[in-house]
Amino acid sequence: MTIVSYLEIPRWRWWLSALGAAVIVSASLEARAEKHRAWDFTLPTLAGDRFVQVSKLSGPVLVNFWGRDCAPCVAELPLLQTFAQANDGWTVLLVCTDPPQDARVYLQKQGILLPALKSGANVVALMSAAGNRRGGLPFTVVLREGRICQTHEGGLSVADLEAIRLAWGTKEARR
Amino acid sequence: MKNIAFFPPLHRLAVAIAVTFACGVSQAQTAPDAPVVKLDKITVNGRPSATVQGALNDEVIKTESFNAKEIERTGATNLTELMRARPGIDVQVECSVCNARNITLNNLPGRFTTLLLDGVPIFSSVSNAYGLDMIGLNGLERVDVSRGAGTSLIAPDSLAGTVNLVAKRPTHDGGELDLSAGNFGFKRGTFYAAKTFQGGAITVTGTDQVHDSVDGIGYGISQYTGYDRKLAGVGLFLDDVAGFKLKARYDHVEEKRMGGPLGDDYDAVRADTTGNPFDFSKGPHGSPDSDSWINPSAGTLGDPYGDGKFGLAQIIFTKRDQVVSTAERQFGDTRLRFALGYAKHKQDSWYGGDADYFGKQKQYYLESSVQTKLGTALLTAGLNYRFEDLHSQSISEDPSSSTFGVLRADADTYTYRTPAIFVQGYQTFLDQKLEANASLRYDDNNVYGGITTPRLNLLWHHSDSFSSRFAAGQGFRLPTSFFELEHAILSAPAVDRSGAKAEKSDNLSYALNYASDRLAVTASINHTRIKNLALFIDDTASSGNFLLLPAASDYTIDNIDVVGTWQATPADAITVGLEKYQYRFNVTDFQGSLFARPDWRATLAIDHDAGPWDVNVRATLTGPQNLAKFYDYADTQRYHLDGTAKPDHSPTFWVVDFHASYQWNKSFSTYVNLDNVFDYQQARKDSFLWLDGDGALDVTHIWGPSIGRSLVIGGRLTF
Repeated sequence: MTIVSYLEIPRWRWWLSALGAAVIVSASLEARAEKHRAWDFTLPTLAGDRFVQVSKLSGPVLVNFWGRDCAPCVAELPLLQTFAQANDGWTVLLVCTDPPQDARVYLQKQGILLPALKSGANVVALMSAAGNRRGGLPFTVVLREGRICQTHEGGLSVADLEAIRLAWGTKEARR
Repeated sequence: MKNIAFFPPLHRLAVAIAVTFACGVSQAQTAPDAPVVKLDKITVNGRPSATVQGALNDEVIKTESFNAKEIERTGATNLTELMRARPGIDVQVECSVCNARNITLNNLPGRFTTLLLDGVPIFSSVSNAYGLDMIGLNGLERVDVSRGAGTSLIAPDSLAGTVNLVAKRPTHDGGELDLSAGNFGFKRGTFYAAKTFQGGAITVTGTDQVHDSVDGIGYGISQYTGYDRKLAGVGLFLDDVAGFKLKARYDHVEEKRMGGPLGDDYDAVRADTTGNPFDFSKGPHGSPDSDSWINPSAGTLGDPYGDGKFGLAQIIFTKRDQVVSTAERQFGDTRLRFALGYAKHKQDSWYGGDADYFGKQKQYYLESSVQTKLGTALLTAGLNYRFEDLHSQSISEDPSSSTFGVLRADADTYTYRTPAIFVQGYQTFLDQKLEANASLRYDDNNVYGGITTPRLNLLWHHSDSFSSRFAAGQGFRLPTSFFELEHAILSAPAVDRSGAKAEKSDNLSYALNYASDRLAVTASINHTRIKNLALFIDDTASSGNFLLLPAASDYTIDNIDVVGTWQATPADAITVGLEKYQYRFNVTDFQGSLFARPDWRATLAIDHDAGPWDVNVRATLTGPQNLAKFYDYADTQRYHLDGTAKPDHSPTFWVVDFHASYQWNKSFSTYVNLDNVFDYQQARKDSFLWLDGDGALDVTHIWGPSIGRSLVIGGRLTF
């Protein structure tokens, strides 16, 4: 007597259910893999004094791609700065898609003191590799030890940042 | 029953576009507003922008892009200076006296490059000759270049490609004042101001720029034309006009330029028609006599020059007004777009011993298109209407001409009306790894009839770092009869265009691109064949006219280029470019009408960007140019003023440019631009002047820099 006959489930339904479950599990694993996939870059600082390799940074890292002419980008810059000041364990990095001199002047004028990077030669592909295939701005990636925890396309609110902090800033989240 | 037309047949399409526009506005007023979330796009500088995801999803598919900072870094004051000596892109000077300049793409003749303002083609013939120098770079977001006839859906006449200037929509109040001065009497002031308001912005731009004429070897004849240039413009950006996002700009240009004799006293030069103010004994292979030159066929000095300053002068006054506007509205997945352009270009000019010429050119452009999703494909369909006409008055100043001193109207006139219909499909395959863009357009010209031009672009994303692009396409151009190609046509009663054909091109290109955080490399190979290249044939001896005829054989250019940029240190990026060309044409079929282009070119650039410093050094090594082939020595050998033959090839030469800027604080920066650091000038090796076998003088022997070391120092205040 097989289990299937014991449960009196038609064979075809069992196979269908098994297939469905496999799809769900596989999708779930894929999503998990997607969420925690490796992502790394090495970009020069906006000041031009050193390279930063993001996977070498310890603790949770928030990478924000922005541009001067993108309204939601500039709106969230002060929020990101406040977030960084309030959370010592976090590293908040800005990747500037504008020409470096323009970005420097803009950040200076706005009083933004966050560490900022030049965009490098392949910024669109860099974002694409993190899941932003349209190359839109603003785009935020949360990562730990070189693995993506979360991505966010579009502007961030205070509530979004708090949710990120709660989700990825705690010891539990590291696991 | 006969059709009753309320409008002339060739204007029907224009009316249709207008009606479509009205319907669009009407629909826009009643359509419910769909919430559309659209993230801002990134402009990536340089070549990688051609191969990013979605790069084929446009009407003009760019192969290179230069953003505002790159423009600023070059120290360029106008479009032709920006486009100079870049891989696959260069500027061709076509007259050493008047400095008519064109932008060459893949080293094809400059008239095959179409200029677009916000995607609207509004330059042609007269305005192409001197007008490109008058295009300021203030208030631009970027300049997109599309090399190849297969790259532009809306500019089929771009046999070589297009250059599109995209105006910047300001997002905050601000402005810029830039003042600079340099040697050769250079002075320049520009300003840009932007004011934003709820739902829109307005910009104002202005430039005032002067430069002396320059003679590098002391014979009193300029190689670099002096000018006084004034530009003013207003831009208007409205985010919601009946649901449409509207962008409009108006530009006014005034320029006075004079080449030949030095200085800027135009009236005095026009009055100076006797004697010899020049010294023909100066420079390499100068004449043994200051007042005349050797007649090569006789081997003796010819008659002394006696036509005064005016005899070699070219004085050109230009006034131009242009309006360009686009309007776009999104209805869910459907985008409606309208564009219009209008330009009025007026040229008053005096070409020394050739002719006085007064030309008026008008151009209109209307376009309506709709882009919508059909399944997973993106379809674009549209109509456009191009109108262009030229009217002129001219007086021959050539005593040997049968029309000497006779006032003639419309010696080189033409009128083109060209309605067109186009359709484009864009589709991605294999999870967006493959992008495909195919299009077809049909133009119906009042002179040359119907012309169909297809194009296909494929972009394969091998990985996040590697991509390949393939393009195939055709283009056509309606030959104009503007006399700048050949001044002497104004000494004939008219241009006989009855044998002319539309110029056509076939283009194939492939590019392989690699980009990572610190390294970007693009290699491309291109093949372009021009059929029916238009030539002016001097037939005054038999028919009394000039003939506008197609070349009997094809003109083909194959080229390969590689450009790589490496971020060597956090502050320093090194760019290396190599390009190699092969020109194939039957020399006698082109009668020396093609301008010499180099066999190869190499570029090395270093950009240092750290803290307040931004320094750029660029060295360009230009290979030899086959002067004997391009200038058809076989039929018309060219000679120096001492009667010796001009060299068959130009030498290889370096030009090094240095630019540096320092940001003092968040509002003020200063800069220094030192171009042609080592002062290399063609005139010191080989004069721009040349003689034919009978000793007739001309001014178009051109292969190298026309001006030496140029220093400009300036300050920029942003607010």
